[in-house]
Amino acid sequence: MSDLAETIRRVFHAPASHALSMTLAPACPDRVPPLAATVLQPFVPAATTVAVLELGLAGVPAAEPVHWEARVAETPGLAAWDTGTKVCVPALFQAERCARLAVPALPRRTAVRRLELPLLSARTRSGWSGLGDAGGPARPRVQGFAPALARPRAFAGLDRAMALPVAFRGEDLERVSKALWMRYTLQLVRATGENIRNLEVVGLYRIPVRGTRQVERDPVTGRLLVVLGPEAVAAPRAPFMLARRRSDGSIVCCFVEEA
Amino acid sequence: MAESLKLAYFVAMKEGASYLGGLLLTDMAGIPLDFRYTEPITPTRLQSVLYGKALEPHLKEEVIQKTLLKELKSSPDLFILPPADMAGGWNGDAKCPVLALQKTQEAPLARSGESFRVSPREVLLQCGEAGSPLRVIFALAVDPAAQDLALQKLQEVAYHMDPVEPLERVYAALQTLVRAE
Repeated sequence: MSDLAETIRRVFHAPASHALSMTLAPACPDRVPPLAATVLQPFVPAATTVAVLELGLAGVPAAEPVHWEARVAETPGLAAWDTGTKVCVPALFQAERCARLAVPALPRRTAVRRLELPLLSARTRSGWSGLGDAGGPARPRVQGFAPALARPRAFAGLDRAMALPVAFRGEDLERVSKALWMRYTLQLVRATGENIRNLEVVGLYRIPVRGTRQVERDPVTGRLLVVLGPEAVAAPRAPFMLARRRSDGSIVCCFVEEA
Repeated sequence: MAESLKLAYFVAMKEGASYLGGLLLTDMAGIPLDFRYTEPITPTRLQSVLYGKALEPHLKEEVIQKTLLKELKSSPDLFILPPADMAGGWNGDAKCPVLALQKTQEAPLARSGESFRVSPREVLLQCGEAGSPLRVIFALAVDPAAQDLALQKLQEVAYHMDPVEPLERVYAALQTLVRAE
């Protein structure tokens, strides 16, 4: 760059000039001596050519018009200076070499790459065979289970049922007809030997005439609880009267009718 | 006809982890004609889990009841259950009308034998001249005609006996069996 600046400075710098003495030589009577020009080195020598005029005049010579023609004689110095130099032409200023730089457009959206995560998996040990494979652990056995409930065995237990007292509900004494009532009470007196005035009828029940093992009256409900034997099954039933002695409060009872 | 009436009283109960049932067949006076009972059934833990809430109904209706009905020598005219068993709906396959009996505190009806229909499956029946009426709850499978016929039989039975009382005997009998074992 410094060479370029120096080159420009020298090209456009004013060439060295030297003042020339323009005074005319003393006039000669017969001829005017030619002007001598001295070419000075170094830069731009100029050669002058003076036309000699034979004036043939006598007298005092006057100043004659002089025409100066400048021409470049030679430029040895410049040639010498130019030798080996290179003109630096910046490539930037050469139009034919300019090129439009195309700026690539920015992508509208960035590409997203999916990164597949590796699945978690159990690592198998070396030497561990798959389930069921030869040498590996055996496949588990599938066991069947039938959830159905087995039918239970059934037992006959009539004796157990017969051991429990059977509750007999008393008949409504007010609904017994008078004739029937008199017959029943008469039978009660005959069976117990008690005076009818000493007896208070507690209840009248229809119970089996056979198989009666135990009789108990429930005072709360008025029911007669009778423990029966197997012979009571299918036995006919007959009215059974229960009475209390007024004298001592004891209970007497009897069947008041034949079955 | 009166002498041929037979009533079956069925009770299935849970005692501890076991279930057992009893079926008492009586005549219309309440005198036992037959009594069958099952051995206690103890479901396994796995069966209890698999059956869930269906275990108890299945045991009562399918296992115990069918087993006992097969053992009966004669078929009953009425199949009577505790009211609690009927409340959950009864799906047994008894060939006679299935009903539940419950004593009430309702006001007595006008006369003995009178009935009052509370709902399609529920009837109040006056069994005696005095006292509260009985609540009769029929199973779903009992149609109205069969209900009326069953009520007539029940009214006839109630003349001779307390129709609810034999259920207490079955309970008591099963309790004695459990204690004995």
